[in-house]
Amino acid sequence: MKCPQALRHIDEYVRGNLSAELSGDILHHLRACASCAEEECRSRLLAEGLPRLRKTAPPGLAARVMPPKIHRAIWWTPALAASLIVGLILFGSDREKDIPAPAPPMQAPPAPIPIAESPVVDEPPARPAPRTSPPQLPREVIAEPEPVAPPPPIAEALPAPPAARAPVVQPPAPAERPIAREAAPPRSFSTGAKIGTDTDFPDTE
Amino acid sequence: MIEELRRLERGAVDDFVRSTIDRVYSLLYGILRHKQEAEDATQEVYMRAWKALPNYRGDAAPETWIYRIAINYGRDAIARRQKERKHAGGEVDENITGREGATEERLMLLEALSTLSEDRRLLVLAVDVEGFSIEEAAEIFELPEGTIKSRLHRTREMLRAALKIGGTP
Repeated sequence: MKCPQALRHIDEYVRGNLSAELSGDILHHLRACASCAEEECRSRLLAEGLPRLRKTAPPGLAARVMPPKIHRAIWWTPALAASLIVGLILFGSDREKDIPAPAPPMQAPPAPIPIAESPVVDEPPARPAPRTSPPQLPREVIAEPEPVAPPPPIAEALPAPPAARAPVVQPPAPAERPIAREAAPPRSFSTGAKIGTDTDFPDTE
Repeated sequence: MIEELRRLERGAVDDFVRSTIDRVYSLLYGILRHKQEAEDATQEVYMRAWKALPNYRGDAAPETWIYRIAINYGRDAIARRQKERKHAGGEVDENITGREGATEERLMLLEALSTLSEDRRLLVLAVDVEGFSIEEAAEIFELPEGTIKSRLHRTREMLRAALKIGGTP
């Protein structure tokens, strides 16, 4: 084997990619040729040294290259789930209030008493306007402790507000409405609606 | 795998990143010779990949595809750097050579690599440093295997010559 032929195959020889026969020929030549033997040393340095230049990614880099959508999902999912749960609870509780509310009003005994006693009536009745039915109003009114206001114009105030909303939720029972209205004066309805919306259902509206 | 990756499903993304990040980082480090720049570049390469994912046709394996993005990013980065050096009066920033604390062997190899043209250096980095096969390199560089083989052969000859001039071994 001559030098040009040996040098042509030297890289593959060093990497062990040649047939046994060709490798043997090259080895035989290298033993007799100092110049080609030097080339073999340099070739071996490249074959063994270059892979040692390889690096591994620093710890933490993998987390930094993740797609933004997945990153977002990581913190978003629990936040979304939590807000959904809270929303469902709030909404559900409102619904529950709304639904059962109509039933108790039929009985109509509890509502009138507290309303009449507590002048606070103004705020409560208006507040649940969109979602709650007339019967619910009395409940909350009762629950809220506030300064007393004179509830004289009962008869007139009562009919107007419930009529608008009553049809949506449930048909207002005759006995019930009179009671609720009694507690809330006419003026209280208009203002009360706003108050109720802001405080009780801030998220929904 | 490709569909899951397209949908950015967590498992597929994790597997993909885990199986490619070392080579992407190492390739970019080999090109840039600077740790922080290589990290930034790696992030940028993956960002580009996520962005381009909807248009990924699946002609090549996803791994090949991202190595290709890394190589192209490396080319752009080298061009930018050369431009900056030109503006800076041709001064070479030695901090960028990544030779601090290198062994003698490492220094010789880095010196020899620095004598190569950009394309040849990228080829050596891919095949001889990162260990890509000729077939993989052909896909990454989008060249015929024969071209890769002959170019690699010639590049190794040039590296040996560079080591000889450097007085090694």
